[in-house]
Amino acid sequence: MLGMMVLHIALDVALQALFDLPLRGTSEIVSEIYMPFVVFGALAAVQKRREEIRVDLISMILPPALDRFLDRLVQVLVVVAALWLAWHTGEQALRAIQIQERIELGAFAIISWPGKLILPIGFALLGAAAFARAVRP
Amino acid sequence: MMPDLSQLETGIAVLVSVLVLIFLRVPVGLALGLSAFCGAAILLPMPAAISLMTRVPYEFAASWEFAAVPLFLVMGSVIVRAGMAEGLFALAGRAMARLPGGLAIATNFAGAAFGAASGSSLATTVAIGRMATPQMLRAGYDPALATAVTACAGTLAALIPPSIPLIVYGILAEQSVARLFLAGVVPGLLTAFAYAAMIAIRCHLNPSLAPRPAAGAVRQPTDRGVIALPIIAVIILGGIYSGLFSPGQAGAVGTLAAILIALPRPSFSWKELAAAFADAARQTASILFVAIGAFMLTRTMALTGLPFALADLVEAWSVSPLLLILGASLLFVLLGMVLDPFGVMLLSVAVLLPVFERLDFDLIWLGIIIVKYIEIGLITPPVGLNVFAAKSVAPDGIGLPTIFRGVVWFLLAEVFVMACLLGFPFIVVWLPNLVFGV
Repeated sequence: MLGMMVLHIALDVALQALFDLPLRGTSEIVSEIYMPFVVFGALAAVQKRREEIRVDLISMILPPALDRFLDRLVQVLVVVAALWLAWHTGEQALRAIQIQERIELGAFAIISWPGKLILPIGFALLGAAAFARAVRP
Repeated sequence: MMPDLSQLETGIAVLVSVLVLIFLRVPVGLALGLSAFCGAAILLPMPAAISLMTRVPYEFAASWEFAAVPLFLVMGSVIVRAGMAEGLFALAGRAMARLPGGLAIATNFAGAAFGAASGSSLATTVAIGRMATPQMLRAGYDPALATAVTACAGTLAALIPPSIPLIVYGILAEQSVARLFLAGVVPGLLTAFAYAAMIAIRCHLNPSLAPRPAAGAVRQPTDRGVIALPIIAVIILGGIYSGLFSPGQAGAVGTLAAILIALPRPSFSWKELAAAFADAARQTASILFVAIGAFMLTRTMALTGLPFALADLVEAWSVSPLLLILGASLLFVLLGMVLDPFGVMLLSVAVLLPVFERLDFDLIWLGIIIVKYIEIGLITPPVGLNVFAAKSVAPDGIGLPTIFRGVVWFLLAEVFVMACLLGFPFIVVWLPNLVFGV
């Protein structure tokens, strides 16, 4: 997805610069389709690889056992928050599908609901990744 | 039942809860978002609070401005994986060989040049340090200097465009990213030269810190391919200057150029390219997660009226601008010592921006100042992420205290740089004003 985004934007810039013929709807496609897929698609991988941004100050103070317990507790919190977000963004995605949400751009339109559908999927996978971290050592 | 709190009390409770959750190692984005949601739930009917908050992730991610972040991250990742940092360092090493502390100064400028292609401080420290630290140690350099310079050179990447923190600040503060990029150029170079001068003076006064290379020492072959890096940087900046590209388009063009340069190199392959894309997607997701939390916090803060109450307070006490910025500086440095850089920046944008806006501060200048402080936070104990990164690429046996000891000298140089930027704001704003008009 990110690779396609690079090519798509670069092509748009090149056509604009060389022939004054920009690809129409590039910024809409990038923001409504590519970006949600890139961002929410990668959330679970971040959690799985422990690359989430957090501040590790307390583990210098706590005994190791308590530290591990705290980490599990935090993961449970992430699971709850992720599932809650998956539920609500899922409702919004269903509504977008029901009305066949699209963005009109004069001559053509971009179907924008797939970008919304990736949110609940991404959050659910994030919850699963956090759950795996909570139950495994 | 929700406790009956006044708006301001709610605002303060939300901020305290953010800090406590972050301290308990809750991911920063979740700490911000959860506290913000609880605050909104106290102040608004539940359905309104849910609708206000759950719409933020999509609205924030589905944005053309934010697309610049993954694009510049891919570009940086491609350049790192193609091994171009090593080439830059070798080139700088040759150019600086005659100066006292030449290798350290070379590391510093290689960091600045690399920053012109990468927007991430940590990536720059790791990429430059992996090569430069062992070489400086072999040449007999003081270990504190050899490691600290890689930690500090990395911070240059956040000011010299492209810069990920400046993009995020620009979106949240509703300022032009192109202007912010240009505003970062002079302060970034000023910092690089202040570091270089400090290294040269120290090594001149105490030659044992950095033994001079013996005459006729073996020269490494230079990698001519790295000349392409400054060229990419010039294309990006030139394109943004001239209005030919938006920052996002510059990111895509720069990425494509980086890939074209990297692919013929033996150290790079299609597999590396795929890995570079995956790196960038994950980094984007983790940054965006924090930014989404911060955006929720900004909304809750607006509901509580806390930022405006602060602004009223500052106005009522007729605090002088100098005192305000010095007070804010102290706060940024203290927060930067314990929080991660994005946390500091986003919290301060959410809470303090209205105060500065009310007092007619230039928000472009303020963005550069905030980014400078978060970069300083990256090299101060106890949580100095760049120092940790420098340690991760240093040989075993060099501990964090050694690196922090070396960093103290760079912090002295930073005091000088900050005094210049705070005392003479035109250093920051003249370039963007020159190009884009006032």
